[in-house]
Amino acid sequence: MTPPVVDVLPAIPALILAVTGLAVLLAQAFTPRGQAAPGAPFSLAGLLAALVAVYLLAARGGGDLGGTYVVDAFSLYFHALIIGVGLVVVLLSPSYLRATGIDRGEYYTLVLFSLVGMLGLVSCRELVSLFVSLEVMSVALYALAGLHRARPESQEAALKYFITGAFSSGFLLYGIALLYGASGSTSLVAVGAALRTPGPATAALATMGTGLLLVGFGFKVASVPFHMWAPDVYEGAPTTITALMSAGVKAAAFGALLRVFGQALPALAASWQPAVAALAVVTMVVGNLGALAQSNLKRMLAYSSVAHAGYLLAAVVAAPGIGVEAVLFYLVAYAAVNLGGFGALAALARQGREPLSLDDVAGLASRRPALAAALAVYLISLTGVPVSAGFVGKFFLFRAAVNAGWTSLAVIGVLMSVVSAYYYLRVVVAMYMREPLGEDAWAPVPPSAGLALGLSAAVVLALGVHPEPVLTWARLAARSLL
Amino acid sequence: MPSAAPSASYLTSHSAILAFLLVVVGFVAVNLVLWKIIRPSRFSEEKLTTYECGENPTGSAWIQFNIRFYVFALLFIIFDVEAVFLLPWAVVFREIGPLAFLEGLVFIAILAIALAYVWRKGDLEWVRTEDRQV
Amino acid sequence: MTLQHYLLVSAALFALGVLGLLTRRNAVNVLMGIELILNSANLNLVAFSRYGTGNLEGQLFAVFVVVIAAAEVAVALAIVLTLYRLRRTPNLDEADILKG
Repeated sequence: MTPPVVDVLPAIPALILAVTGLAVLLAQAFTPRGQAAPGAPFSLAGLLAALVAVYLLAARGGGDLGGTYVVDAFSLYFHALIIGVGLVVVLLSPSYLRATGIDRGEYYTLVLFSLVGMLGLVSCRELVSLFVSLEVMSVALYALAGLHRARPESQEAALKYFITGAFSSGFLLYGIALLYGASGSTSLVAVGAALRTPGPATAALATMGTGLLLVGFGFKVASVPFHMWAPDVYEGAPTTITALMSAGVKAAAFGALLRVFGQALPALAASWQPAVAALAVVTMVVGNLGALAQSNLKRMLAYSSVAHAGYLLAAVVAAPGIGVEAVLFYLVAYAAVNLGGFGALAALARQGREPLSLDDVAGLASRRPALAAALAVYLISLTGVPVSAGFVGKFFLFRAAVNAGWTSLAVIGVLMSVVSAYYYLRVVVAMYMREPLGEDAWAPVPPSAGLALGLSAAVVLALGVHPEPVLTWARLAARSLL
Repeated sequence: MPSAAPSASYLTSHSAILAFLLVVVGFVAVNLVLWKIIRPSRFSEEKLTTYECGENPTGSAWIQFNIRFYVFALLFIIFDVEAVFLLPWAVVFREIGPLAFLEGLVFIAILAIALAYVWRKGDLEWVRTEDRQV
Repeated sequence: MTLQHYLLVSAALFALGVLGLLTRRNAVNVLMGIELILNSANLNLVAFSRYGTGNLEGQLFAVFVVVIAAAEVAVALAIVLTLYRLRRTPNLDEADILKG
């Protein structure tokens, strides 16, 4: 047997993060009890190194690791996004962890491991490694959701996240097994080729497999009717982890969804497109109506994240084609906004408490003017008001749906965006129009969190005013998928 | 020896197992039935109690176990199952070459790091050192 | 034994797993349901590998799934234990702080 030639360079960014995670773990193990290892500086260094590696890989034109792990323009786009999400989360974390009393090195190890899983998820061109990446991401996040061991809410969130997550992984795996049976391969390209000329039995297996895959991904991106875990988990998990889940997991799951459905299942588009369209409609409607009824800000943002999964699915219907670049662009806008939104709540945490109700943020503009302004920018972008990333992103999403002949999806999306203005702007009104209630109970914004929030707001505004560079990149990435 | 045709020897080796199985089942069945017929049967309360190595049984078997059992079980499961990757690797790494050997070492190194972490956390001892100090 | 037999058993296991997951209160029983689902998929993979596709990828996949399932269950049991210490119950329907 000849030794296989494997080019490991494409995996370098993921390897850097994994090694950093192990280093933090060891550092924590050899730190005296009761003290926290310096996880944040380690992680920041690792993430920056990984970002440099991504840049160098892009300059080299990507690469391919034995046909299973491919770094093309699509992967590179997501690599940059996911590592950016990681940087913001790590910047937000130290002050939040101290304020809630869970400052431990293992936190950073698990965050880095989940990022490794996300990188794999968007880069895998083979179903075995796809599933392994998904589980690396998920298992780390189950533990992170339950990191606050003294709070029953955190444990409950972890348990609910685990049960729905494992359930969806089971569906996904069963779907993958059926696709393997139908095509005789686990490589996405080979599956796609085999399904182009199916026999009758093969077609039945493949359709069932596609349905199960859709259910699995539906859970991961929190689309209705597979969304019921999202509000509970987003509320109970530590807020920085909620930010990671809403920005990173959603991006990685949509990346994998686009790659699998675009490369392996285009032949079955006629059967999955109507299903995705139906999911998009119910997700947009239920997500937005659910958010209307929430008084807890974390829950409100959770339902908003469900609603945004619906907007994104509306453009996935138009994939493989014009929809992909719209989804890619919107994921960046959406990640920046959600990191900012949850990050702003986390930055104010003090002594285990953080602002969760409208009363808590009343009059925030007079006490924390910069933070209130940033939060207002995020909320306006979530609504989709012009001159924000959200507006540009939604415009491309709905245009993709219209161009693909799904005008009704775009109409519902626009209507639901109008509905969403009510619950987003309610928060802005509370911050700017109301008087503060009682003493100032919240922490001063820590510098590193301030930097993270400023970065997010800058991205939101820059994408709103001048979206061209990211859009060009997204187009390039979308093309590499075809 | 990979070149040997597996099917014939494979089947004959199973016939030996079958023979053993028959002998075992037969031995137990014959003894149970035979002594059932021969022995006198006189039951007393003491005879009917659960046998616990000669001790008098106390309480129900459905008690809560010390939580340390679970921690050990979790650690055992994790490290035990990882061995499933090492077995095929050990069989073929010689043929695939140095890269495969290196990959296996990396895998074991990661497990070693995990073991070092568990050891430093004191989870390899029945009473954790840090709990003892408190 | 044909491929159909294996697929039927696997589908039955999958259905049992889903049923267990949806109807059981005790967290440990729910974990068993999850194991059933994952292993029904494993059975499919191995059966397809043996009778359908003629390559070993399916069996390879099954090995990975076994390991992943073990890791998942370890994390899940740790979560259940922590919740148990806080609430003194392994029942899922009593974990109901988060709602609305």
